[in-house]
Amino acid sequence: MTTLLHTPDRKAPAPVETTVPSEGVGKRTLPGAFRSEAKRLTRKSFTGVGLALVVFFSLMAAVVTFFAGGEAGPGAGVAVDLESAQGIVAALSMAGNLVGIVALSLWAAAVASDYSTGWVRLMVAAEPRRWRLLFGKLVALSGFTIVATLVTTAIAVAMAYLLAGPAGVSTAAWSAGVVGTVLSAWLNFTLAVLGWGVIGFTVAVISRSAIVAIAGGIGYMMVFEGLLGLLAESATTYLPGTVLNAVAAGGTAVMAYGTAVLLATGFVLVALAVAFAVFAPRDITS
Amino acid sequence: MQASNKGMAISAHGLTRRFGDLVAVNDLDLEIPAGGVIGFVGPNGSGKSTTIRMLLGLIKPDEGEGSVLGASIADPNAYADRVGSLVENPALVLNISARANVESMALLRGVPRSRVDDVLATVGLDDRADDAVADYSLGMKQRLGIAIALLSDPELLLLDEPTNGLDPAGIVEVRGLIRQLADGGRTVVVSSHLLSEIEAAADYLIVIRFGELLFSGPLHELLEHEQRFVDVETEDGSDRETLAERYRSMGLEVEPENGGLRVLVDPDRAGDLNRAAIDLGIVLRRLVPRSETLEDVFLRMTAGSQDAPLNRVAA
Repeated sequence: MTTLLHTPDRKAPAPVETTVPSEGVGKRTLPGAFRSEAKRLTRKSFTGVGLALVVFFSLMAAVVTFFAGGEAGPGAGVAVDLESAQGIVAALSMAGNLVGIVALSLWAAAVASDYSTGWVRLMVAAEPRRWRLLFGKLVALSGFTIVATLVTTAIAVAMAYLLAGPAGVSTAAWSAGVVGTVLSAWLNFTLAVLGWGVIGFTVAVISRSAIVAIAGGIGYMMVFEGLLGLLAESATTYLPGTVLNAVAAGGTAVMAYGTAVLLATGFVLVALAVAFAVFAPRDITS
Repeated sequence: MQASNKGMAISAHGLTRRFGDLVAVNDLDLEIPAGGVIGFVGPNGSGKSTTIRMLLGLIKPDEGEGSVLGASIADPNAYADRVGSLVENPALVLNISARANVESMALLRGVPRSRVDDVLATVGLDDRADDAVADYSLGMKQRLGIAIALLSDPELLLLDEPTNGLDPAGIVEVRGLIRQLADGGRTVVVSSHLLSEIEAAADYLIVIRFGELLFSGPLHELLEHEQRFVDVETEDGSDRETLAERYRSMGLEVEPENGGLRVLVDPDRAGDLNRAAIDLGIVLRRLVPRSETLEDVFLRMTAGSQDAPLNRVAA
């Protein structure tokens, strides 16, 4: 037996198994890579902070939508007629970019923390097929994001009913096809937020730094696209922020929904291809 | 071509890795036998961690080839289930429990949940398993890192500086655990920049410096490189040079040592040295037969390279 040490953090180790299996005891699977990620993502500091931010921005978007007429400045979503059938989910359209930034930040933090903790060493040594690691993380983060968008949607709809009266908005048109309207809005919103998440994911894979990824993502959206849009709106039509905004809103006056989804899919696929291409051959020196 | 690996846990030939102009590992040949504790020793910056990372598939060699448990290092997936590792500091998620850390890796490795409790018990952390790792001492984190390395019940363990930052009691404890693991039939490769930390446990030793192999073989063979000598000190310091000349005239090698002389001679000849001093009428204050310790041998072999940076420039 190993020497016993009588300090509070030490106890006698158990005897070690004396037989060693020739092939190891593990059987690595793709679902295992996802579940491993999900296990670490469900920590309070990640899900707690993430959901708190989502709730905060959802409430803010709802208030802005009903009391500021949707004129919230750079980064705000697309304003809709509150008294139309879409009025019930108007806050979702407004929250698209705000929650998108939260998603970008959380996805970037999840990727970058693997480097800051050195966990990436363990992951790659345990599963050398690196695409599985990225895929597992992608699926886990997508699952977390879908939960977040469900929460956002629930808040947006509840707040719509709560704020309509005080804001003097008629809800007469809201009841027609309400389930379809909400589901459709949730889907669009989710697709847009996932798009933002993938951007954060890719920048973090490249930079290995949450700060660089978050600052870069927010700076691009708020400063570059935001200011460029103020100078020449047409110049930003096909840029990621505007395209994802159009997806969240279910299409805009300048971009049809189908076009927006197609472009967003293209951006996401390119971003993922870059992430996989960078990570697969990278030296793990962290 | 795959490196020859019959009976070898690890085999490498001409392994070379550069980082820009720096040569971290230079044309390294390794033959590490299966079974037992293998000490992988070299000063800081000698290329140990880079070598281990190449063996684990974390980084790719620029040149050379190697095999781990008979499979080429170009395909680490072929042996990932049979190798456990602890590379440098334990990689842990601090704000979740130790159990959650181990479970996350268990899910990735696809090992049964029961292994989580087994490995936590093996390293003596089962009763603190639900505490956040942020509250752990460095020694506990180190043991948790070893627990994660043990998850797949590997044949080969690569432990890079597993006693880093541990207090003396922790070092003894980890050393004992390593011995236990090797006695269970595993090959445990333990890297360290201090030979003294692993000489008590190692069966076989690899010494590298500047990314190049200095020694590879059973521990006792390293002792064959030890120097034996006699330290002599005269009562009157002014006699020292006279005595040194006399010893040199006897065909002996003499070096100054801490105010006295170090005569490189078999300690059995200490009497001859004393008689030579008496013949000259010199009184000796000290005449001490000595042999190098293993640590002395190591330090001599790696002389001038302690804590050396990666300062070799590629040819």
